[in-house]
Amino acid sequence: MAHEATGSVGVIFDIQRYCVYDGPGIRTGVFLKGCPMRCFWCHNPESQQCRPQVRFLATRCDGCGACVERCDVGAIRLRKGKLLWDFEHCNDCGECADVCTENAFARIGEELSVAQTMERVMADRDFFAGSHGGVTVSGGEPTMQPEFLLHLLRALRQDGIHTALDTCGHFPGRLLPQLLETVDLFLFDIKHADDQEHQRATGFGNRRILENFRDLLAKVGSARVTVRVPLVPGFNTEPGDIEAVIEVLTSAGYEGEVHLMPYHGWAKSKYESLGRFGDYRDLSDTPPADTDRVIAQFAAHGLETRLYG
Amino acid sequence: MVPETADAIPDAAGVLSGVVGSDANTTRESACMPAPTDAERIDRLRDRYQSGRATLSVQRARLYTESWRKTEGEGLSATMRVATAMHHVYAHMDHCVDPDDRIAGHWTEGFFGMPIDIERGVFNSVLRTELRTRDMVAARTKALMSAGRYLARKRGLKSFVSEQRQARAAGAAPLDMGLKTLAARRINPFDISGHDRRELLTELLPYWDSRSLVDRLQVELERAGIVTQGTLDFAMAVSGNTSRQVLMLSTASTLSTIQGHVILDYATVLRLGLVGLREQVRQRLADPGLSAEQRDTLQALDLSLDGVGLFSQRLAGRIREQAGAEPDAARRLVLDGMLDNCLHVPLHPARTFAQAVQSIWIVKTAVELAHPVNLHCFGRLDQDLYPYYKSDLDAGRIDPVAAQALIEELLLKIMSQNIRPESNLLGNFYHRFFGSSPVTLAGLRRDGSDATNELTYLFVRAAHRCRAVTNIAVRVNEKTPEDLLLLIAECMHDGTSSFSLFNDDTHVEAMRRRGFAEEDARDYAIMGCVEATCPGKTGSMSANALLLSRLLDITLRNGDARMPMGLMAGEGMATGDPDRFETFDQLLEAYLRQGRAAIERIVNGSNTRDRLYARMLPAPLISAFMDGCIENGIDVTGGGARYDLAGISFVNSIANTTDALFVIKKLVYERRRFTVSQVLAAIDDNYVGHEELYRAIKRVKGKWGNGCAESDDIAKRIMDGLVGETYRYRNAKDGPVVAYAISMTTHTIDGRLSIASADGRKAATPFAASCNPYNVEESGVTGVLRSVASLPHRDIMGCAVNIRLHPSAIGHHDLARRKWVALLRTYFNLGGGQMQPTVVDAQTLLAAQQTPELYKDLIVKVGGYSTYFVDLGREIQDEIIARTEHGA
Repeated sequence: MAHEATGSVGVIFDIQRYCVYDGPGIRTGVFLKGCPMRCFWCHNPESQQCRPQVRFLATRCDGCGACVERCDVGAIRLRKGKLLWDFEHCNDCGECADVCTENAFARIGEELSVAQTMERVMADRDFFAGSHGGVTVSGGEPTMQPEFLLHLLRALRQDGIHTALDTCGHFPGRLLPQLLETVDLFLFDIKHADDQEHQRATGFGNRRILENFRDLLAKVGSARVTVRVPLVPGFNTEPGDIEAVIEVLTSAGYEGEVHLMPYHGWAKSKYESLGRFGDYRDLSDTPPADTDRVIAQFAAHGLETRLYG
Repeated sequence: MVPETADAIPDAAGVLSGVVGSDANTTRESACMPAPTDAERIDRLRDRYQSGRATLSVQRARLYTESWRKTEGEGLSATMRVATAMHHVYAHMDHCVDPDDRIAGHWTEGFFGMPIDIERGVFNSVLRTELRTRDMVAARTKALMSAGRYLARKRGLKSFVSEQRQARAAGAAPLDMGLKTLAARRINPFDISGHDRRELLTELLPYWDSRSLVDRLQVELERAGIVTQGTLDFAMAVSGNTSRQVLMLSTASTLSTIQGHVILDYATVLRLGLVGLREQVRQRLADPGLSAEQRDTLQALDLSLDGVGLFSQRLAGRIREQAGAEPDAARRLVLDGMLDNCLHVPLHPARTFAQAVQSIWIVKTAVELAHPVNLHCFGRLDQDLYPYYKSDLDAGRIDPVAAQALIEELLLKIMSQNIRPESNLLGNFYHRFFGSSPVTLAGLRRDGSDATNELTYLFVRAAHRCRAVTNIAVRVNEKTPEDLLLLIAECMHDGTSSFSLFNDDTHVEAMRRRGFAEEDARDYAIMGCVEATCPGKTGSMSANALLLSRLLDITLRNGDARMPMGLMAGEGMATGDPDRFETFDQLLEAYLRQGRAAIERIVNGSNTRDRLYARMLPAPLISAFMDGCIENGIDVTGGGARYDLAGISFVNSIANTTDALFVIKKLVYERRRFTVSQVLAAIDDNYVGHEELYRAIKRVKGKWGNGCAESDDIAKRIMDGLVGETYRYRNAKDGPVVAYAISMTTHTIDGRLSIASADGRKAATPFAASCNPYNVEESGVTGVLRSVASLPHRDIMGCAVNIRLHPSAIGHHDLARRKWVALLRTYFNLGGGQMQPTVVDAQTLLAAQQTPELYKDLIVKVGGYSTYFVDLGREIQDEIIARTEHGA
């Protein structure tokens, strides 16, 4: 189905196929660039900044030096066959990525129209149909590009595709009515019940998030919402923290499954590839015993859990 | 939208899956564990094979030669000579009865050995030169000298040597394993006693020199002009390659030398026993209207059946000997049980499950001994063995646990008879055990209903627990129970990678299109790696190969071929100078013309081989167990079976060739940035000094395997054109010439021995395997499957699509695994033919660390974070490896 130019363009940093943990069936994940938060455990640092960037993977570089010539601001040097990238002076123009044959330099974040996005996404329509799957829009925080997001969701709906929205919940309340019309399933993050702790860890308090959550639940019920809780050691896995989160859910009337995401320390290379060496926090993995205990806590309140990861 | 629960998701057919026969055994309970002692024994068996050393046995070769010499000049037909020779083998060979056996019968006098098919001669040259160091030195020196002279003539020794050094530095495997003898080498070693070695070298091999089938085949091919002159020169010069499993006809076409893969009619021997079959033969012999040749063939069949009977009786005798001398009561009980079975089967119809297994094992072993590593495959064992299993279950004679233990042992034993003494030259590209003698499960019955039964599940669990490499070919159609596929997903998640899944829709249709009757098409089983056939009714199939990328190279050079050793003029047809073509379509048409000529060459070679087998080495041992041969009184090599196949595998590779053509289309014919001559110049230099062109090639987006319409179209046009051509031919046994897309390990060998290609592939590096893409971009597994599905699978009788999955991508729990099942079904609905997931284990990940360029497509997927493994930092990779070892 053709989609007229809506004049709406989004910045997308990834389109992932065969996602099996992001909603029902086989799904394609569309990842919008840009997030208001800066969660200290973030696994997708390339999603935080709104505008396109460049990333560099040293393991793929073969030292050909084509990028050195191309860089207008002299941010790349070749020393003894090893490539040095001065990310401080990099202006993210992406020209290096255009000449790189090994995908060592790559652009992160592409401007795509709704029509272009739909074309890429709908290639897998047979897989959605065969598994009762669909498309999950995620990010970053997808609500940071509200116009593009809504246009995309409407286009998907028009084509009969099941839509899921993966959100941290921190969006203006006035967005909710339009989201309700276009989103089949909300994957809603609840990170911490305490406002101050939340602020310390993510850069924002949780009041708006909880407000949106309660509103959402009141309007559509647990059938169209799935709560997701990241289990970050040292932040929100203590029994008290979990009890407080459970209280938030039960008092809002939530009865659905809670999806738990234990922490894995896999993102270090991503931070390095963006030149953000200092930003990665080396946390230990969530101990399985803690995860088990959290599951038991939820169960004690009649809430079923599912483990991702 | 209701949050999903396990029950709420119907399968792709929209039907909540039921299971055929709803008793407890068919549900997906956790893996059936054999009794502790059985489990121990099976694990020990596997360990003995994996860490043991195979012994080359000379007995079969000695006895066969003895008889062959004796029958020389006696005026016997070839088929009688073969039957007589094998009878002599069966009459005198020593049998091994191993303490870990519960199924009796080995193909050599030792627990783990390899007989030598000296009359076929596939490995004679290897044995001549690689058993003793001094022979290796002599042969290697001679080979080096003649290779040196050849290279000097062609292109200069110095540049070849420096190129090889470059390739090695870039990680290419060494071309041979040095001067290590068969016994001393690390990969796939073979022991042999001093006495046996002497006998082989001084008596047996000299007799067969220029007498063996392979020797005579080479002469005939040469005489008939089926081998190009360039290749003849090359073969003479590069005599270091002693391998004769495959003969080169041209740089782009090869011939297989074995007689061929086959599935015997096990159902009939189970039902009638050897005595019943002999009775059939006798009744046929009573017909006065038989020709002399038919009479002779039938007599050879009778002698063969007698021979197999003798094999089993003497095996029983050996068991009896051991039982008589056995002090331990428990062990004696085991021996008595085996003795009982071996006295009864395969002479007589099987009465129990254990006897059925014993019967087919003896028949298979005896026949395999007659033509080792033809590959004699077992076919649809869950169908053939089911009646025996069912009646045992009903009578309380067996339980699933005991049955599974027998199946586990069977799968390991199958594996132990699929080894070969390949030459050192190819040693680094081979391994020891091949899984290519598969067992086929599930699918459709002849009447079109679903064939899954309790044994199907038992086989799956057995394969998972015993971890034999024997392939398990599972036929899938829309009626296949979800439970079965989920069980397979579970086994794969837990580390077993021996499952291959076959689309019934495409395979049954492919069988129909090649002339199989409707019910026979539905009854298909898999032999070799992935080849479909009607079991018990189809004569042997020997697959030859057309090397797609080398064919393109010849097309681009207007008939010349370039190999690492130099330019070979006139290797193919002159199809025109590509720089004079105005459109890409003209290049594609030239390629197809080149291909049609190559196909003709291959068919001629294949028919020459098959006719030689019919003349020199008929196969009464196969014919005795092949529907049609007794009735027709014609040997299988003469076309006596109901159906017969010859095959061409289009490999090495679809992906590289499609991408090369796509790149040339874009850069040469559309954008006019380069000429074909410039591309060839870059290829000849392995892209060194041609960085601009290389970059341009790499930047062309939309290469094959990413679901892009344009490259998909090119792949389809190539395959339609070439595969379509095979319908024009008949083989020497009056059957079709069919198409495959399976490369086995040749994509690594051929890649190692090829120059660079226009898609950016560098010299001496592997081609894409079988139907796999080479340049995977961002589209992930769905893009791969969409591209592969658009190939003409209904015209291909077998292909392999290897998808590498981390356990997390198959799914940690049921819900996620249902999505993998949905992926499979959707891919099949789109027309995909086959999928064989390799579940990544820690070892694979370690390999990916070493050679990341070979693992670009490996996706590691956990929770909300997924990435290509090779993109991760070292420490993270180490962590994932550690995690994977623990089944995360």
